[in-house]
Amino acid sequence: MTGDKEIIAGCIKGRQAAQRQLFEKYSRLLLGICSRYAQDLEEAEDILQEGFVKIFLNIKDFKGDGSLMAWMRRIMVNTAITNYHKMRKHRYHDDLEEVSELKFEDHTWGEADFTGEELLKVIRQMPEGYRLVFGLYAMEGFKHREIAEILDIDENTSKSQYSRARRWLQERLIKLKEGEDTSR
Amino acid sequence: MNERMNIEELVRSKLEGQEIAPSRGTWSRILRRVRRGQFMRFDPGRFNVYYAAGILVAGAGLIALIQTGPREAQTEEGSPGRTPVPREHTAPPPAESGIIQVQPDTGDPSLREVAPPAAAEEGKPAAVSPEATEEAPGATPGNGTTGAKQPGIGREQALPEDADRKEPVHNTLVAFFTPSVTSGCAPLTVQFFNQSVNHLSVTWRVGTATPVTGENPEHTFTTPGRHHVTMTAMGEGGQTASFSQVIEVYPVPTADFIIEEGLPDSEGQPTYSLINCSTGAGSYQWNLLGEDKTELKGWSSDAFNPDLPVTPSERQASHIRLVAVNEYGCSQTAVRELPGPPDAGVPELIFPTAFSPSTTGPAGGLYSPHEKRNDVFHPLFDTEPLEYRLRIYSRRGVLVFESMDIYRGWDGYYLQERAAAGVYVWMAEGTWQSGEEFRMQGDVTLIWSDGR
Repeated sequence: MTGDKEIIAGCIKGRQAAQRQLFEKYSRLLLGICSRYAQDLEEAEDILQEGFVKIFLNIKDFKGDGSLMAWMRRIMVNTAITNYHKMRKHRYHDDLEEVSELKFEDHTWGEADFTGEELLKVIRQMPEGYRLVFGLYAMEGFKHREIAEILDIDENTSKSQYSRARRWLQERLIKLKEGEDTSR
Repeated sequence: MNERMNIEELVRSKLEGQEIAPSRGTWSRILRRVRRGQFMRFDPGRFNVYYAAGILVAGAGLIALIQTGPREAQTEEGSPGRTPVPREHTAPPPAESGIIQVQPDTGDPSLREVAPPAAAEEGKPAAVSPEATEEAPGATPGNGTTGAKQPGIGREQALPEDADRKEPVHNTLVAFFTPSVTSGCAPLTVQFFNQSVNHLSVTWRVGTATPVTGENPEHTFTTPGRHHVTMTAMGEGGQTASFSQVIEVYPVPTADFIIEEGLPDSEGQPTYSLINCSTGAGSYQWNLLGEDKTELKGWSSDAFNPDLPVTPSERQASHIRLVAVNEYGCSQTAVRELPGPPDAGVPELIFPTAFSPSTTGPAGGLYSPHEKRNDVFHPLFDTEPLEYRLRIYSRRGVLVFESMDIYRGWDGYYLQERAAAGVYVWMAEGTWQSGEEFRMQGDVTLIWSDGR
């Protein structure tokens, strides 16, 4: 497989072979990323498709001064956020209301406690607002102020939502682990 | 390898680098849209134009975000905490993007907001330049695609692309259900209550069984083990969502036993021992049941193989019940009828029709209980009679033998001499334990072993 530089050059020229190569090389990783922001595989693939279209239409704007993967990743996350906004329009958004921060006894985990699939499955069940805030903070490394910008919420809301999200996630995982421990 | 980590570390370590293969047809769908997008690119009236522009802005802005971070000095008014990153060039070369140039002409307020006063230094009020985008990396794509209203922002706008998109409004589907129980002993009947939101229909699947439809189906699990139940909901616009739960079904032990009769006690009453044949159980409970199958007070046991001592209370019992319980608390019950009392059967003496006494001389004719001897003429019996008399006559009516002791039979000698070979008549009479009298008679052939 050719290096990223060649692939990018080909994509800028609109060459299908290069576009295909880019897709083959990165789609699996990118779909993994999209999955963390989606409720199920179908939604994740919608985000992936949308994101790839954006990538191909705008690849000439990739400066090359960062990694291609990071750039594409941002586009995917961005698309996921767009998708969220689109969804949010059609339901009342009480999942992102500002609430007082909750204290939660932090739990520690072992590496072997869960597989990636199990974690992803639980994340898919997260309420959408939680999932997004959690992903943006824990996985993408955005600060709460940035998340507030991205999601059009208050910075405090972002913090409290994050707190709630991690509590939700940990409670779910604790329950899952207990279920597995008692099964015979 | 079990170092403890917090939830963020766990999620990162497990999900970072996770790969999922896209389904078939994804690439061709992307390709089609890319081709269409490239073709449409120069049409100012199309939605894609703004979309692509918005993403340009967003994508570049996000990169800048990562690279500079928000802590750089706030230098711009209206630019909340972001410092524009100086770049060599701003918008894409005009030759390729009539996009940029048409923007000021449309008077689109969204894109105007994207270009804050800070970017005015570029000389392009609607500059979709990387610098300008830093303050709204998320808002812009929001503007670009959500259309008319964004809750909470107050940026109401009707983007031209909305009219073109004509996408249906879909209520978001949430799949969820609650089972009536999540665990229990087999067979376990569970009712599943659908609690989905905005669903049009639901399909249930238990393991590999045929899917079932319906809002609140019931299912009986007969096999022990963990059963996965998955409900798939269909919503508007082709949405699907799934939810799964595990139902744990515990195994049930088998309870079984044998009643073995022991020797009668001193009063001739029956005794029993119980042989436990249960499987899969850890504890047992034995009880006596009366005629109406109710539990009797008195004897009970939790032993594996108990003896059933016979006391007056036990004599009322008609059944024995065993409950076998396993470690899950699941149990099975076995009930067996106690055998009837022995006096239901008629006691009897059985005499042989021939015998062959010893030629070595009179032996006395004594034998032991339950012993069967061919060289002594004696009866076979289960229970001893209370009174007994045996008389043996020759064919000519001579009394050759008499005994009042059931354990002394005829050794074939008369007056110390060998009795003649041939047929003799015997008569036995007496009374049983119950007081019942008996009288029997028959023939017996005496045969000497040496043929004389």
